[in-house]
Amino acid sequence: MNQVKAKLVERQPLLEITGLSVSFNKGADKVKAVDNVSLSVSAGETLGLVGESGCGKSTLARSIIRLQSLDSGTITFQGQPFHALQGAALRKARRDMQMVFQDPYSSLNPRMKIADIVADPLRNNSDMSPAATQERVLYLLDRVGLPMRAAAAYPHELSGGQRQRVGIARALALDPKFIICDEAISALDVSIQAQIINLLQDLQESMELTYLFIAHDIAVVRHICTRIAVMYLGQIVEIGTAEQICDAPQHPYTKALLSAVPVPDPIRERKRYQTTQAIRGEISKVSHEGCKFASRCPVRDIAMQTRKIDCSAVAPELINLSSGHFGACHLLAGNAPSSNRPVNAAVKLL
Amino acid sequence: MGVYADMAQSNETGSMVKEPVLSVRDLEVEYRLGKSTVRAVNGLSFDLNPGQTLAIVGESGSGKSASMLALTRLIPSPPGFVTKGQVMFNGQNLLSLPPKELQKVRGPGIAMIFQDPMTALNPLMKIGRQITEGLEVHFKLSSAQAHKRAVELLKMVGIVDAEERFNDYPIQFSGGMRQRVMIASAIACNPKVLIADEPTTALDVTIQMQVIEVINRLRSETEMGVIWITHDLGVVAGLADKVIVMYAGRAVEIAAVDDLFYRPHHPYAMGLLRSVPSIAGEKRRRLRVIEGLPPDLTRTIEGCPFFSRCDKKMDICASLMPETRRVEISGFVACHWDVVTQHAVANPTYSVEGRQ
Repeated sequence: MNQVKAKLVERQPLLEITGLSVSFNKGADKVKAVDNVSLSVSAGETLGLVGESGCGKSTLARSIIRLQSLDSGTITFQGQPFHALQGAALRKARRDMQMVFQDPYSSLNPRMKIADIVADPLRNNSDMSPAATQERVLYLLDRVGLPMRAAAAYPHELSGGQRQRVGIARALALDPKFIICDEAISALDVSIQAQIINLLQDLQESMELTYLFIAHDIAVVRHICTRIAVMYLGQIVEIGTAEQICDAPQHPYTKALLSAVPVPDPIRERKRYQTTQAIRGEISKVSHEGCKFASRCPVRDIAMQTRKIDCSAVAPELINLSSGHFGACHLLAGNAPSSNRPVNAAVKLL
Repeated sequence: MGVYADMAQSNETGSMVKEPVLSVRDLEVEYRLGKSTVRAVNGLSFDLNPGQTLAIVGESGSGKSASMLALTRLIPSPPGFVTKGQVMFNGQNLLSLPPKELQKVRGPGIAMIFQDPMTALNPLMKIGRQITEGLEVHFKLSSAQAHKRAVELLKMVGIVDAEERFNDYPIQFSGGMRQRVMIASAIACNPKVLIADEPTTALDVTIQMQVIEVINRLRSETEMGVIWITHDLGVVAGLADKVIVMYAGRAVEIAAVDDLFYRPHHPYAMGLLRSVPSIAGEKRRRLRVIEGLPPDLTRTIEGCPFFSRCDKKMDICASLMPETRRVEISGFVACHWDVVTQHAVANPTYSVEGRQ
């Protein structure tokens, strides 16, 4: 009985988002940066979030941790309605949700010593004694692979990789369950990137951490993530395991994105440039109702011919493609089990 | 440094022997900051042929950007000083050219693209004007002619509504479009050499692919030589003919692109290649890393600068800087370890001037 219960608890996602929308006012216009996004993250996994700049990845991350106000939607974190928390309750719940930022230069206060930067969350959120705080800081610095003497240094005295380690130590200070890494390794050199990736993976194992890992380097995301969500203009267009997304992508945007990733292998690369064409245009606001990728989509004509669907008029819904693999494209509809086919998309056929 | 001189010939197997369009010898750059001196570039030598793409890879602080800024004399001085070397372009040594003559080289001779288009473009100048300016100065075109050419260039780099966007300001463009505007302005004067300093690092992979296609097309059409600074080994694999791997201000390996990827000779190059996750490769639990950090360039380095991080180090490496030696058909490596024999190099000659 107890075992069954334990299993049920385990299955409960650590974080569950439903119908999340965020918009910005841009003059008279309203830009939907995040558009009705639903996803869940289970304890212990790493969910990758990829997409071009401007697709809303960072806005989604910032709204999950409540640095950005929501238009609508719910965020359930550890069973609590995180989106509705305020003041002290929010601060308390946030101890379990931390963030590591992209730029280790601008996310550390240049006038604070490393020890104080790492101690800050402890001083603000716990009643730890100064001695215990100091001990904890030294433990954390050691944990992220920084020498003890780094405690007395200022950020400018450290290298980029070391600074990112400080950012990670600060995020770990309150023993969180969930860490959002927003392009946390993008600004680092290749050899330093590998060190930080290994560190994040070691920490995940030993501290049972759950990550939301945002990056535009898809090779890195594939390496570190258990599941990957692909975003385009505020929406998730495909989500699945790292293998499903990288080895068998289904959405035309995911395919285009993956085919643009350079591979460190000259023979493969020459072949790639010969056989694939760069996807045209760039991510930009669309005014039509339908699929937001339609204007750049290389296969929209096929959808028109074979399915008689005008992609710029009818928006596709996320449909189940196989176990845990979802995609939002009209051309995928036929491949799905019929029970999962969304009704309203089929009704609006031309 | 005569060892580099015949590289241009041996590169071209069968085809016509080309004169290098740019020839750099023994370039040394230092930054003097207060009491300390950072020796950013320590004796860099290479040749660039017309129509060739040379990629320069290395960690931040390895001297990639400093050497490129130095050879066009764009390095802010002070604190930067070119203390030694020769940069031959068009029969002239750029390092001793008077400023007025140098102005004529920049643009139609050697053009540069920088990483951050927002700081490299003038925010108060309309996009079109940033391109026509160079055309009017260097080619004495009328403003109507320059306008026409600028629109052509913008279309060439993939800005479809070029005529309408001509009078927009940089802020009205997206990052990817700004980068392409900068490319348009760099190639406006048909440069013989294009130096691109991390031109796609801030861009999405989709836009990166578009930019690479534009530059590759231009290179094959105009025989422009391209130097491409990047730390993305995937980009290097796709566009380079030749690669320089820099470490601590030195070229530790120079190799044809296939040689570097399939037969690397320097332990640092091997380490770099091992440390990147690949989208196509096997998914490994841990990435292999190069432990440690690059050396402090304010101190005099005895021996090989990679010594402390090297997994092939031998006693000799601590005290003697390895001389550059030839490997493969057209490559060079500066290492005491011989990959082929898996032993120390027999009867090596050691660089004396390397240490000073």
